[in-house]
Amino acid sequence: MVILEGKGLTKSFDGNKIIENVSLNLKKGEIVSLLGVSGVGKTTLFNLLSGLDVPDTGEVYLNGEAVTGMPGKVGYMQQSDLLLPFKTTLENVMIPLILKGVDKKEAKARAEAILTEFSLFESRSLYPGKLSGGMRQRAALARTFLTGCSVFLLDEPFSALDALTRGEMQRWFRNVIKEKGASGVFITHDVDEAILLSDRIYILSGEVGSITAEVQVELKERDAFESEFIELKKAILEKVK
Amino acid sequence: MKKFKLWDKAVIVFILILWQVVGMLEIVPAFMLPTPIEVLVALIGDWKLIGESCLITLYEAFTGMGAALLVSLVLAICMDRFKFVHEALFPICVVSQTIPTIAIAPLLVLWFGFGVTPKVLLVFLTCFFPLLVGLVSGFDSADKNVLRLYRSMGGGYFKTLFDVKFPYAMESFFAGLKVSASYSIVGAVIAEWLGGDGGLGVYMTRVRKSFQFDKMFAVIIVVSALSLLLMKFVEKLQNRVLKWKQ
Repeated sequence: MVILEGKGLTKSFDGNKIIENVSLNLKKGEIVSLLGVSGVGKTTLFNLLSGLDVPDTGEVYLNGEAVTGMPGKVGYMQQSDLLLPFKTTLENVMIPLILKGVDKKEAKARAEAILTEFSLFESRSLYPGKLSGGMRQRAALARTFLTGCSVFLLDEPFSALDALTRGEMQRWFRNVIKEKGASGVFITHDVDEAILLSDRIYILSGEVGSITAEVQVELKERDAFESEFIELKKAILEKVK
Repeated sequence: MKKFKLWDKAVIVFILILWQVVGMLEIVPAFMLPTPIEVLVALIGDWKLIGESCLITLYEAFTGMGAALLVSLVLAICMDRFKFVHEALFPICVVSQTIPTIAIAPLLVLWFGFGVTPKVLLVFLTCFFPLLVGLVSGFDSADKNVLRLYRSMGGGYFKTLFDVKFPYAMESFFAGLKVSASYSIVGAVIAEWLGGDGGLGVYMTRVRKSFQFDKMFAVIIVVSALSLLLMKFVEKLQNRVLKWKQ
């Protein structure tokens, strides 16, 4: 079942077309990645899908309902973790609930529950400046989950992490999404990451960004050293060029 | 760091001793430059009058600064919310700052008499701008991506203002507040020079005209001390508000 769909999305800034006629969809429970080189318009596309920007032409549908230009419908996690430095981890994670008008006590209880789940409960009263990169990312993800949306857009969620932490976070992330029965699109320019994490990959390329290929990822083992993985990576790299 | 702290105290003590010795040797006539001990005696001797003057000056400074705080707050929010307000009013605010306080003070006395009003107004005028600039540039310094995040989570303008923009603005606001705090006392004293019934400025004029320089120095010390205390207080407040920085 398709849960999020973009149809014929085109957007230009100051007369420069960034993306043209982009159509994509996300099925329930699926993780889809959007792969492309820097500057191809991935973030622009996300801003359209999240409703923060309005496309020149095209529509965005969530559960079959048009939500073009309506922010707050999907959970959007941007490139950096964007934790507010003057709020504690707990307060940061509570933000989406508070903004929704949830009672403070209940918000606190729910935030504490998710922090426990993400192994951050001990650090709940620390300011983000005191957290490690991986912890910050987990906190940001916890906050995104508490938006209560079942669809998540994640803009290069792991790009700021060191290689070791990143590998750990990627495995953890896929498990969490699958466990929660959520669906998500995430942006990456890392082919390995795309294969490791997603069920399907859209490749965005061209001078004016458009979707040039769609690859189904069906691997028995999500292991970067398996020959199957390497074959797929080769095929995708061909397409990105 | 510790060593330097000792040094600056040593320099002050040295200057005070030198000053005392110069006075005692009568190198400079006593009526022109009283010794530190004489100043201290004058300060203690006239404490009642100086204390009363202090209260009047503080009242003017606080009222003026309070008004400046209120107006700059409202105006900064309007400027942040509506771009045209910023475009229309900010240049005028900048120009108003180029007018020397000394030049405008007599006019204020002329217009509003010798009462408290012109003093409060002058304090207001000197304090207002640093506060406004602190707030406006502080609001602008809020992380654009965080603002977008709030929007993506459905946060409205005022929610975002109080939750995100104000905390981000605190650092530059306190920079402005510190400047304003020291301006407020000096502003009130300058306004009092031009006439009135009380306050440290009036006291200062009176003792100057009667060549009581020991009292003159005493009141200068008091003015400095008040400004320093006020700035120290603002600093303490800042440390509390920005405790996440530590």
